[in-house]
Amino acid sequence: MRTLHRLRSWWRALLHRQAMERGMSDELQFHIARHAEHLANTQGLSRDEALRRAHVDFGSVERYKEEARRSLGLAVVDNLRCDVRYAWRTATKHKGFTATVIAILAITIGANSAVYTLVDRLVVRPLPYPEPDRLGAIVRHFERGGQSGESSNVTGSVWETMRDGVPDLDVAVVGGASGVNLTAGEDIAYVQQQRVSSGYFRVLGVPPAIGREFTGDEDRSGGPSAVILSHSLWTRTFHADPTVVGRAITLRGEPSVVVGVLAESFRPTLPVDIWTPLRPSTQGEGGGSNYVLIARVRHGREWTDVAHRVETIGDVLIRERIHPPPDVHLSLRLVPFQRVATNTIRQPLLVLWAAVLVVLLLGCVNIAGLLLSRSSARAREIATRIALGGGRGAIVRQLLIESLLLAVGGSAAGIGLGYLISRSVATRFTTTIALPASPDFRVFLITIGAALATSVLFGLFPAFHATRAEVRGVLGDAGGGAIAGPNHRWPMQAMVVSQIALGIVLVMAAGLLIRTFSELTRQQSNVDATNVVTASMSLQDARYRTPDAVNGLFDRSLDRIRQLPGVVDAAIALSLPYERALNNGWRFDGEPAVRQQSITLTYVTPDYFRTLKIPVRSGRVFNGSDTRSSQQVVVVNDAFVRQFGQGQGVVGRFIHLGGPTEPAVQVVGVVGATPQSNNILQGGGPLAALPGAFVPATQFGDAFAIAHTWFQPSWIVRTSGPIPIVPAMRQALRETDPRLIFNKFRTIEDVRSETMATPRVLAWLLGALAGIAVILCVVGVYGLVANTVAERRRELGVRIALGATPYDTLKTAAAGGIGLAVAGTAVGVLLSLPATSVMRQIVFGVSVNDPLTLIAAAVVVVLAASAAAIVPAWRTLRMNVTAVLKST
Amino acid sequence: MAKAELLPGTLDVLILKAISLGGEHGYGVLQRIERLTGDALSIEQGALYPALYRLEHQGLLRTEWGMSDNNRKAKFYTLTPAGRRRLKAETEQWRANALAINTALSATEA
Repeated sequence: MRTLHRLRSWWRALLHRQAMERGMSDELQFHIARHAEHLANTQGLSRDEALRRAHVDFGSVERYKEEARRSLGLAVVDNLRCDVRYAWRTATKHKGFTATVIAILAITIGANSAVYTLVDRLVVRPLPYPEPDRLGAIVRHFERGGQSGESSNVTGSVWETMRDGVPDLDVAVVGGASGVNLTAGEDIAYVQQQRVSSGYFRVLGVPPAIGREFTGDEDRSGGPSAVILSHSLWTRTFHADPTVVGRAITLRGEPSVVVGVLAESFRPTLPVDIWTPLRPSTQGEGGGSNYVLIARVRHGREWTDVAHRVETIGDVLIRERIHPPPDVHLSLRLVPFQRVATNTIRQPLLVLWAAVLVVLLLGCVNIAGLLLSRSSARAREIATRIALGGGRGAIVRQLLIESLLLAVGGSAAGIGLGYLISRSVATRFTTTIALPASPDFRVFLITIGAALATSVLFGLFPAFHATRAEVRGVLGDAGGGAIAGPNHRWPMQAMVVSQIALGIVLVMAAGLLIRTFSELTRQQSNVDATNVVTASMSLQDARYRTPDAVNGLFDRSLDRIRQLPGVVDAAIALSLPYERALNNGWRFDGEPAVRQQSITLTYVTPDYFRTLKIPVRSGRVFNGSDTRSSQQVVVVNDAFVRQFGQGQGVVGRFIHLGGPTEPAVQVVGVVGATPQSNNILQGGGPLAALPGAFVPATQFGDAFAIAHTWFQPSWIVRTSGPIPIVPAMRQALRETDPRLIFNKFRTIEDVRSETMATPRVLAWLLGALAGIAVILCVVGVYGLVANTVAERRRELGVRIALGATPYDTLKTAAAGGIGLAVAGTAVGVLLSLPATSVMRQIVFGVSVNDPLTLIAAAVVVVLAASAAAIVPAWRTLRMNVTAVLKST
Repeated sequence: MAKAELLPGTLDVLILKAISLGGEHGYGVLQRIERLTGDALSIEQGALYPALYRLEHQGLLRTEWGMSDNNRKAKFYTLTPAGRRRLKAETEQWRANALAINTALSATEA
């Protein structure tokens, strides 16, 4: 009650400060005036004399006002205000120092918050589905010669075996997502479709908000066509009509019925607008590893028991049906679904996180170093204040406020930066789980806490330092008679060494990613992409299931496009260079079993090689005489010849593509291999010249329907110059079939950038972080050397006066800094050997311990650090020796 | 006449006593204290105000702006119930202490 009253009184005084001050003045003036009146009346003094006496009797008005203020508890606030004002003056006076500290804080806090938020969402926090700890996926785990890997794609028979053999699991399968054309009423829309089996939403634990999910009947080959809409498609295209269930639409050129709409809160693992039944089987698509198998452990069952059962029955399946090569140990495992849903981004993200953590550490060490070096500069100021009677408590408070001011400024800037980074990351990585566009609040608190702790702890250092030291000693010493002893600088030296070591690790990591990127870029393309435009289209369409229909479309559209002004060549291919291509099993005619190493298989129209100017190494490419009824032919690339030709020509040989019943096809030519997007799990980088084969579209036969559920064919057009051909191509397609649309137009360079996006972004991000690290190292070394030089001015002056050469002086001043740089580099090199090994999965074309990169990183850091040491040392050469020596 | 120095802590209770006799402005409080103590205590006049503000801050006094006897704006102090209780408690405390000290000082050598 009493406390409450005081608080209210304090608060009132604070809020109505001006009124309070005015009232206080009025009250005291009234007192003095009355007293003067009294004196005049009782003692007969003159007005002026009475007033003078009244003032004397009252005492110091200002003093009592101050005491009255303290009575109201306002002193704390007043002192604080004064301290803040002083801290602000200090901060604005040392602009360089302030800006550096705030920039370091902003970068470390911003980058950490943004990246850790991603890590948290994708790796730490469970997926946004009910009971995520029961939700798993069954993956293929393989080990070969000490290396192990995991593939989340399984065959239809794995699905069947798990569905029937593990009753404690509720399983469902998912196919990939692909863009398809949707016709609702008058509009044609290009939407993202994902094919899922019945039970998919049940296993995820997220039933549709309206309607139902697919029935077993709809999920059977030849069953009724049904679709489920995402909330956003429902809102966008169907105006959130609650009666949409039962509505007929046309998807992929076939009539379908809407059976359900998902809740707005549902987050798919990929951006998906519409779901269709997968109709899984063990044949066709299900004959290859094309499904992701998700599974929910039923209530009352233990994850470990079920996982064990999965492995046991998986072993039987592998032994009886899969026959892996003898040096590969293959098993089927139940793993958390989260791992599968985020596996593409997981590894890069963890590396990035490690990098920003290192930057955080570096930043903290750096700030500590900066504050420490300032502490010796301020020792004299503080000692002076103490000598003049300043309370130690007041000085600690002052320094605390200065540190807090810096920390608050840095944190504010860091929060802003964190938001910017988060937003740009969220818009860039759209292919995984919906990412947050703003950093997590708790993450901010943690990083800001770390930054605050660092700056407060080390900001107070001068206070402890100075208040413990004997004031006279500091005052006497700071003028600098003596040679500065090295002993009190060891904390700073340790900090510089650790900064440089951390810097080396980061520069090394960035170097590896940059080299990976440049290795990928340097691959021979075998394509001339000038004046080439490509246009992709979804041909997952009921009207284009037969070879005749597809080839008819190809012929008619190409005829129209070739007649467009400026068009030199035009062709169609299932996949483009740099794109992911269809993988296919194969064997030479006469070999008993399909080979383990599959090849890429692409159907093309005859002019494909000429349109992209792909060099023909030997034999011939396709022409009009390769028809459906003529001898089936295939063109392979030189990567195929290198890998399988065993030094002999392959032209003229026969090979089988696919199953044992497929007829043999004859190799008629060899072309240069183009880099294709590569499944990293099979080894090699994300982009590699894979062994591949091309077949004429006329001979692709019944494979069109299945290939077009996975891939979108591209129309490739070469023009005579850089002319805008896109509108004319759209028009030509419209004239060929008004119900088809091209969904994207890209140059070959665009395709290449898409495939290289992750390595490029990673190299860029780590490069930026390494740059920051180098700058921090430079700041650290510079600070240390500048500080040492400042302390040793007199000593250096004496040396110069005694005839030291500029070289000697420079050496004396800079040697310490350079020595620390070298020591830090040695530690860093040792550290980076184990540290970079975690990057094995994202580094290609170079070893993770690549000596060249390591040497380059060491040289960069040592040079930068030495420069930072020499610059302040250089200044000593220009100092006025006489002035320095006289100054004491 | 030599004036006695004010014992520490006594100013507060004197102020409370003075105000308990009726609402008064600062100068009036001072005059009352002088009258009550027979002018025997000396304080610098300004020292009254930090004490008044402290007591008000503690919720023992209530203030109000009003007109003084010669029609000037002045701040008037009155006791709050808490102030009245405090005065009572302090008075009892003072009496008890004074009794104890008196007894101690008037003890004769045995």
